[in-house]
Amino acid sequence: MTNILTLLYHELRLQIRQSAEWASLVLFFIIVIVLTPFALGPDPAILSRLAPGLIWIAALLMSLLSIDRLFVQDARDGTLDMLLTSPVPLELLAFVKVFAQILAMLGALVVIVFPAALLLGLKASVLPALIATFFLGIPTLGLLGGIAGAITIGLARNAALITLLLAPLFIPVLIFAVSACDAASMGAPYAQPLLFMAAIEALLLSAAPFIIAAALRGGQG
Amino acid sequence: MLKVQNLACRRTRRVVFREIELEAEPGMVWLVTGPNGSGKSSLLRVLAGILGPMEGKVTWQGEAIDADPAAHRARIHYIGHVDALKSALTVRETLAYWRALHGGPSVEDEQCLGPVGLAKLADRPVQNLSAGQKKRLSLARLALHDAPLWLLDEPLTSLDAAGRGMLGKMIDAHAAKGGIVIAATHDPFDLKGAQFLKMEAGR
Amino acid sequence: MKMMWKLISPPAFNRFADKALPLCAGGAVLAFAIGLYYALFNSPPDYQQGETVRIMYIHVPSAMIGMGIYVAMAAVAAIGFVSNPAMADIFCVAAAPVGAVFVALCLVTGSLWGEPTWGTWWVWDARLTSVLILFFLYCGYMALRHSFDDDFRGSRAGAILLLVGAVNIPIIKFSVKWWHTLHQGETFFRPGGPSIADSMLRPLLIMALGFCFYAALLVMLRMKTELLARRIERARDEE
Repeated sequence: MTNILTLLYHELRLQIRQSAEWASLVLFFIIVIVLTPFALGPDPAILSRLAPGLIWIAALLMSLLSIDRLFVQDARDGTLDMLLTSPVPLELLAFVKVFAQILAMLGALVVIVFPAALLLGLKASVLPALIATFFLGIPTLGLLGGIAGAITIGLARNAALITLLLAPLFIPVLIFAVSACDAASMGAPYAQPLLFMAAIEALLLSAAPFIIAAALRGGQG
Repeated sequence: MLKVQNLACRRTRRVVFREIELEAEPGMVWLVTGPNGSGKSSLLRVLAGILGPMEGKVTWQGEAIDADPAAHRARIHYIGHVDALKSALTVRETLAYWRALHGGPSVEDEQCLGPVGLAKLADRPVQNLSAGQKKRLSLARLALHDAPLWLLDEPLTSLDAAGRGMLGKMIDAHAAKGGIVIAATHDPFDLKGAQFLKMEAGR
Repeated sequence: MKMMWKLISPPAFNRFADKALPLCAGGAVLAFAIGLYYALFNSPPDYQQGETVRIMYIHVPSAMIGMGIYVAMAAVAAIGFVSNPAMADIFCVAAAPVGAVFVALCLVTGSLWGEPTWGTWWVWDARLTSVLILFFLYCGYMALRHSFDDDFRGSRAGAILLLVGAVNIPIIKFSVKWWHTLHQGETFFRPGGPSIADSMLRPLLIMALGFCFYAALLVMLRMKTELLARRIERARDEE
C-alpha cells in the first residue's frame, strides 16, 4: 500500500515538474474558448446558452492532446521497459500513471473553468453541474485515452489517428455532460445524466487497467 | 540456472535470430557480441520476459520464465540501452521511484551511488548530469536491490575508462557472489573469465 | 470450441471457401433477382412515403449487415485472444472494409430517403447518428490496423480496439437515443412481431438474405486474398 502511494506521489511530482507542458495545454483550452465568440458572434445570450458545450469541447480537445504524455514519452525514454520488468503488476502501474494524469487534468480544469465561464457568460447556477460533470467525465476520457495511448505504442505519433479512435468513444460522455448542464441551466434536476456518467466511469475504472496492461505487453515485439 | 534452448525471435516479420543456445551457471558472465541488427537487444528483451520468443524456451532452474512472470521479474535487473531517466527529477528522487517499482528490500541512497561514483551528486537534477553520469546512474540500480540475474544492454555506451573499470568491478563482485551477468555490447569489454556468445549478422 | 478454432488453418479455410463461394454467389444472385423484383415491382408504395419506401429494401439490410459485421469482428477478435489470433486477424482485416462500405451505403440511402421524407439530407436522428458513429468505429479500426507493419502487434492492438468499441456500442446507442428521438419508432424488430405489412416484409427479408450471401462472399474472397498476400510477404522475407 505504501508502495502504491509512493508510486502515485512520484507520478504526481512528475506531473507538477512538467507543469510547462500543462501550461501550454491550459493556454490551448483558453484559446479554443476565446475563438468561439468570433465564430458564433458576441451575443451574450447565445454564448451563455452554448457555454457548457463549448467548454466541454475545449476540455475534450485538451484531453486528446494530453494523451501523448501518457505512455509515449515512457516508451521513448526507456521507462516503459522498467515498468514491464517491474515485479509490481503492470495493471497497477498503468492505473497509477493514468490516475495521476487524470488528477492533473482535473486540477487544471477546475481552475481554468472559472475564466472560461466568465468569458462565455456561463450562468452561475450551471457551474456546480459543470464541475460535477468534470469529475465524472474527465476520468472516463483519461482512461479511454490511456487505452488509446497504449494500443498505439510504437507507432509514429499520429494525433489524427488517436482522435479518430477516441472521438466515437467520447460521444456518450459529451452527451450526458452537456445535457446535465442544460438541465441545470433550466433549473431542472440533473441527477440522471450524472448517474449515467458515473456508471460509464465505474465500468472503465474496473476494466481499463487490464486493457491498458494487455496492450502495453502486446505492443512489444 | 538460466538455460536457453533453440531460441528464435522475430520482429516485424523478420527473423532476427534463431537457434540460440546458452547456459549460465551461478558466477558466470556472458558477453553477447555481434554487429548491429544481429538481435543482441532482442535476445536480452526475451530473457527479461518483455518479448515472447517465436520458438524455443528460456528456463530458470528448470522452470519456464513465462510460467511465473512476476517471480522472474523479481529476480532480474534489466537495464536497457536508453537510461529510463526523467530529466525533471533529482538523482535521489529517481532512486526513490526505483525502490517503489521494485518493492523488495533495498540499500541506502549513498550505498548505491558510491560504487558508481555519484555519491556527491545525490541532490542534483538529472537534466544537469552528463551522458556518462546518466549511464552511471542507470547502473546504480544494480546496487539498489539484490537480483541474481543482470541483463545489461550496451552498458558501456558513454562511459569513460574509469566508468568501464567501475562497471567491470561491479560485475566481478556480482559473479563472485554467485550472480549471473549477461551483457550485450559491440565495444570490446575486458572481463576476466567471460564467456562469449557471438550473434550472426541479421538475416 | 477452442479446439475447433485451432483447427481452422489456412488450407482448411481455403477448402471450405472454395466450396462455399459458389453457393454464396448463387444464393446472392437468386435472392437479389427475386428480392429486387418484389421490392421494385411487386410491393405496394407506402401510403405516406410513396415510392421512396423502396429505398428501405437497401437501407435496412445494409444497416443490419454493417452492424452484424462489427459484432462478428469483435466476437472473432475475442476468440482470437484464446486461440488462433492470426486467423482471427485475417477475418477482421478482410471484413472491416466490407462492413464499412455497408454502413456507408446505409448512410447514403438514409440521406436519400430523408430528403423527400423529412425535407433535408441529414437529421441528427438517433439511429442515423448511431450508424454514423459506427462508421467512425470502422474507420478507426482500419486506420489503426493499417498503421502497423507488424501483423502480430497490429492484430493485438486492433483486437483490443474492436472489443472496447463493441462494449461501447450499446452505451453509444443508448446515449444517442436518450439524446434525441425524432425517428419513427422501431418498425422491424419490435417485441410482438414486425408491424409492417407482409407485402413489404417479404421483399425486405429476401433482400436481407441476399445481402447476407453477398457479404459472406466478399468477406471470404477478401480473406483468401489476404492469406495469399501474407504468404507472398513471408516468402519474400525469407529470401
